[in-house]
Amino acid sequence: MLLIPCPYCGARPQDEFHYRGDATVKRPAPDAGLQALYDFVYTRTNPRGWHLEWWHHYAGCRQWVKVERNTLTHEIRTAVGPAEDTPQLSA
Amino acid sequence: MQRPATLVQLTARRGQQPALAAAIWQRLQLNLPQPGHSTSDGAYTLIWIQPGGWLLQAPADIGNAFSVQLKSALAGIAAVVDQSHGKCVLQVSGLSTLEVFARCCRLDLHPRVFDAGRCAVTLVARVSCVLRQVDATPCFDLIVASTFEMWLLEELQEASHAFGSRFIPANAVVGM
Ligand SMILES: [Zn+2]
Repeated sequence: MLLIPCPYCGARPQDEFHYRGDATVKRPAPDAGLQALYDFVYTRTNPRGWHLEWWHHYAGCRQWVKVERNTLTHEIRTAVGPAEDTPQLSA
Repeated sequence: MQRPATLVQLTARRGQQPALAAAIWQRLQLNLPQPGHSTSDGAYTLIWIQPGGWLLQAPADIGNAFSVQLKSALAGIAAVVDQSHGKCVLQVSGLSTLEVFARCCRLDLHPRVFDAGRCAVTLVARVSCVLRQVDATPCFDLIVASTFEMWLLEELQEASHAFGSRFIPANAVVGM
């Protein structure tokens, strides 16, 4: 069980959140072609280490939260609001 | 204990939070509470539920006119949604209240970190609830969707089985 530090509510258990995927993917330009759109929708890296991801605090403040989590140790380094600056990802 | 109430959700329009705070102060002489906190004068209670969002708990008998008036007074300042029809309030109090919550809620409600006036939107018995500590008795209000009320009540009764509990319905004449 992860304890996710929601920037609005404080530390909350993982079961109050839905995992909503990689927070670094950007929607491609409309004319970028089919492959770019396919990659945007389906292709994900599977990093070992720090990963920036969306968590939706559905059973709390209902906000989307950007969380920096280590996929190897489950350590959580930062959790910020969706519009806030993303911390620099380091390997 | 069932506590009938009028429940109105207030969501500030973009950039209008100071105007909302001023309008609420003018009408109710209550401050908009900070995240995780509530303000109350006994009859009216403002509960923080999300950034820019509050739940106003008011007496049950003021009826529909209250939220209609509030809606026109806060036009352009906040979205006003009367939730009274869809939510209800269960009040839990007594010596073993914290032990009961320890069995069905993951939050740390120890007086060291959670005291009267604090509130949280969280899961209680796997159901999304607004939880507010009313006083240090300890006494808590749980605001839950009406359709989950019986479920939550049964879970709370189950969790308090070892300590004993008594349920007082809103209309005590009807009984359970
Ligand atoms: Zn939250």
